[in-house]
Amino acid sequence: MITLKHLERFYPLAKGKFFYVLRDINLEVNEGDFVSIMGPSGAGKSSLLHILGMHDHAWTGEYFFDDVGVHNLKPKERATLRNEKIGFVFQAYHLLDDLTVYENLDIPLSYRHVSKAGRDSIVCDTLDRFHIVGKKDLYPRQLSGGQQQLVSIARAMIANPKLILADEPTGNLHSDQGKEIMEMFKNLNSQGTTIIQVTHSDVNAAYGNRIIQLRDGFIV
Amino acid sequence: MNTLLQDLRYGLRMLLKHKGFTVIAVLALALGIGANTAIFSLVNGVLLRPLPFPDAERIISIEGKNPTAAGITESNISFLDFTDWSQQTDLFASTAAYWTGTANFGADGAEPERVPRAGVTTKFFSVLGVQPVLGRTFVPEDDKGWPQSVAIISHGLWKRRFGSDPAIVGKQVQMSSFPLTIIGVMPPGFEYPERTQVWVPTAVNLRDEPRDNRVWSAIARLNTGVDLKQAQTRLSAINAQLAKQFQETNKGWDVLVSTLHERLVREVKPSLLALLGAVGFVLVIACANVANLLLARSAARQKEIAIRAAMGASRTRVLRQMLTESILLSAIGGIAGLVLSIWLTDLLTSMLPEGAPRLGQIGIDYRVLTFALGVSALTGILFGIVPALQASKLDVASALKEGGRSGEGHRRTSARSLLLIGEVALSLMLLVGAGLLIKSFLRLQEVRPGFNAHNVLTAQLALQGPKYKNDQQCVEFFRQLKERLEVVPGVQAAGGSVNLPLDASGYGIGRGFIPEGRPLTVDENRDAMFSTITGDYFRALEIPLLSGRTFEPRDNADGPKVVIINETTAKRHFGSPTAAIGKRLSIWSAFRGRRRDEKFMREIVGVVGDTKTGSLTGEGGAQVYVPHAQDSQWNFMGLVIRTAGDPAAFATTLRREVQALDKDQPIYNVRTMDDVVANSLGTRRVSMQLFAVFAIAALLLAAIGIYGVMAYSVTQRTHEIGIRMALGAQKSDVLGLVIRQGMTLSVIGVVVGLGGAFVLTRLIANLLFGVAATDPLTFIAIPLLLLFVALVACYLPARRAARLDPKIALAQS
Repeated sequence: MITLKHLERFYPLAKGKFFYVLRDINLEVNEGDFVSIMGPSGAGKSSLLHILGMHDHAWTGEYFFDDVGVHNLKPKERATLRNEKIGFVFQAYHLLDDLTVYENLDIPLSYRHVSKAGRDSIVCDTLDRFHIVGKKDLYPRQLSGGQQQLVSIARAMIANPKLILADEPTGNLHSDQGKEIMEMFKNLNSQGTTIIQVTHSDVNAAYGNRIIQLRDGFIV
Repeated sequence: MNTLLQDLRYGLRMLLKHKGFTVIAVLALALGIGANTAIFSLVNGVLLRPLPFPDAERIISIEGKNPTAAGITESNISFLDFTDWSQQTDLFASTAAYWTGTANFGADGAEPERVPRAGVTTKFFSVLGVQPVLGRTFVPEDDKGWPQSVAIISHGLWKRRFGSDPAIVGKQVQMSSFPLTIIGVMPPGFEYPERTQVWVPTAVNLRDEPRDNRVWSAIARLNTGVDLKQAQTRLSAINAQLAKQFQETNKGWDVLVSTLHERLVREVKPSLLALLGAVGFVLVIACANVANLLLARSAARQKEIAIRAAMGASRTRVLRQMLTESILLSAIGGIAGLVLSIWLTDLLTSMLPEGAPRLGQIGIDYRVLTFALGVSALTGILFGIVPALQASKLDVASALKEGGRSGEGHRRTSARSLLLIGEVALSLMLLVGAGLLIKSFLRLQEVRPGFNAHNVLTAQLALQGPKYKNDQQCVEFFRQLKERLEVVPGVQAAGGSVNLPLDASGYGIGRGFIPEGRPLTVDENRDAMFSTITGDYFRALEIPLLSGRTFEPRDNADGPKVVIINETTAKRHFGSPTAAIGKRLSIWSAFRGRRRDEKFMREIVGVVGDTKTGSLTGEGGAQVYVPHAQDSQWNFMGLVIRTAGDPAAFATTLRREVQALDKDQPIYNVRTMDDVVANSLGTRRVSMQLFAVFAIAALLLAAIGIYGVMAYSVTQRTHEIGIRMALGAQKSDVLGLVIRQGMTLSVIGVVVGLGGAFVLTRLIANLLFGVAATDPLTFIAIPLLLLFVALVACYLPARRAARLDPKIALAQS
């Protein structure tokens, strides 16, 4: 599904120097994998995740997604591809505070030009699937951390992506809530969704079938 | 459509959530949009709205001009010329000539009143396309010469004076003590020309009418397919023929053809357009303010926008959402502005001087509503586009990273700085314009009119009726009136003149004089202002006597002929006021086109100070005074009564004294002399006041803008300031840091504004008096004022920054 070849990310400094965040990353991820990216702070984990999620365009090298050369695509084309194939889950949930749960789920469909009737149907199904129908009119501030992350995952899944990227999805949750979330991920993976997560937790990493270690921008 | 509703719903929610921001933004926008809409309603009513006549654009005004020979750019025309134009061309569907004046109007024995009237040719109403609501218009048979026997009255007069009597047609009334039969009533609102209440036939006698009696006005309706240029060309050609045929009377005369609308608004158009420009500046400044507020908010919304982008929102979609919110905000501001504009329009209309053209046409109509709508939408885009573009250019990855700093990007800071510079520059330009107008107005107020206007009541009185067929009867009436008034407690002096100073309603009389033995050139005669006076005119107005004496009872019809001249005349033609005493001159007048010379010399018995005649801005010219007893043809006077107390309170007494002498003679145009002087300043005063209001509004908006930018900057730099303090920066260092940032932007804005002001103030040069468009004092004082205000606006947030606790500041990230 994903192939990275000699991928590098750096920031220019003064006097022609560069600071490397990722160096010579070569990676392959197959469909159906549950990959955990681990490493110390500053290793480049989140940067790698954002590149995989096509949020970050300032990198060099080759990136193939479903045999499509992402490195050859323009930002708008990457955005289209991302919208079709990828869902993102953040550590801080990143729900829109001024939208209800229903509206938070509706928003990604709206950006994909799904009709109103279609959106209503999909959102209702998703609320049902994630057992949060009763919370649809609540605002994020009215939910617990675990509930917010659940909504966040539901939002990531709503457009039926092939790949979920999760950046420390349980980082702001206590262990019981975290366990619930990881079980959810495992369930999704068993249904065919490829998952790549960034995590510091060995317990969380154990849910996956593969671990990638990053250190100082290199895969070790 | 659904997504648009989504954006609107969300936008409304955001505005309700941030009430403080919303209130400030809506107020700024309401002020800008409301003021613009109000001024536009003035422009619309006066300049844009077509005249209330069918196919009004086809109605033209025909005036005379004689720029080369007599320096006249606009003039009335002669009736005989008008007749030739009408007969020698087929460009017009109909033509009409008319004169205007006032007359005593009475009915059913009730107290008469002075009403504006017009003498019109038969096709007058046909040219304007107006039909009466009752009765008929004039037919050729109605014009049987003087005195007229029929009249058409206005709807207002019919309602006010006759209680809308449906049997009015055929009713007998009195005008100037002659009977008239009312044959028609015009529709509501029709009072052309000059608020006419009674229309009568012209009573022109073609046999006796001189060709150079240029006292008529003319209008015409163009035939279909004929344009203004064709009419101008053809009439000029006819006029050239007339000039060859009648060299003595028509040499150098040409015609000036314009639409009737253009003629009516010619004088006020420059002021109105200048005001529209000025108020546009206020709106742009308000937009810049709101744009800055939005930029600050968009910085706080970075996370939200990044999430939306991560969820799949394209840049266009983010842009659209931000613009929708902006337009929603401007729509709310627009509605508030429209409400404000209704009140402002009423206020502005009440400030306009009497006689301002098309006052009745000013109001809120579909054009004004469209303008308000358009301005609101444009405003929303104007202040929304920069923040929207900035927000949509977000670096999603950086914004979403945990622990990332949420500081403003460089681009957003540049945008805010540029907006602030723009605000300051625009405010400065407006302030300089207002400063120049205020200085100009103060200069005008310093102009000594040559008389003391305080505590003086004025009124017009025209004696009409069979009792005054003899000229000396009029002289006697005014003499008796003066005697009666002088013994009334509180009256210090009473007199009258055919020409009151600065009174636009007075009769302008063209006369000249010839010093004994030295005939004057045409140029020297051109600006002579002649006044027949009665009673203690000079004492009533406190016009100083410089040498000789004023008129006395012995200066009557049988006594030696005398004259009083002004200082300018004395110096120009006789060397000095003292030298002029005893010298002689004769007077000529141009009446009904005929030059009539007085066949005798008048002795100069006195020299008085110069007074302003037409306007305070006019240059002093020759002024000549003759006693009424020796120039008794005048049956009307502008009365002046100097009182000990409030002159306005004396109006009833004056009316009573006049009625005691003759109950059939009404006084009219009763005003204090202070009001006459104030009214003479007319549109200048209004322009100055409005400019000043706009400039103050702009200054306030700019001050709020500077404060807002600096306050936000301090908040953003709290961490940095904490570090600086931890490293040893004192309070004064922090104060200087913040103030320097704000003042740098302000100074740049002032410099840019000065450049703009140098260019733009030339556009209002014709509104200035005694002040150059680049007056150095104004161009120095205003920037200093603005910089002072900017300093205060910077100081408040700077003081807050200097008081930060470094521990707390460092803890923020």
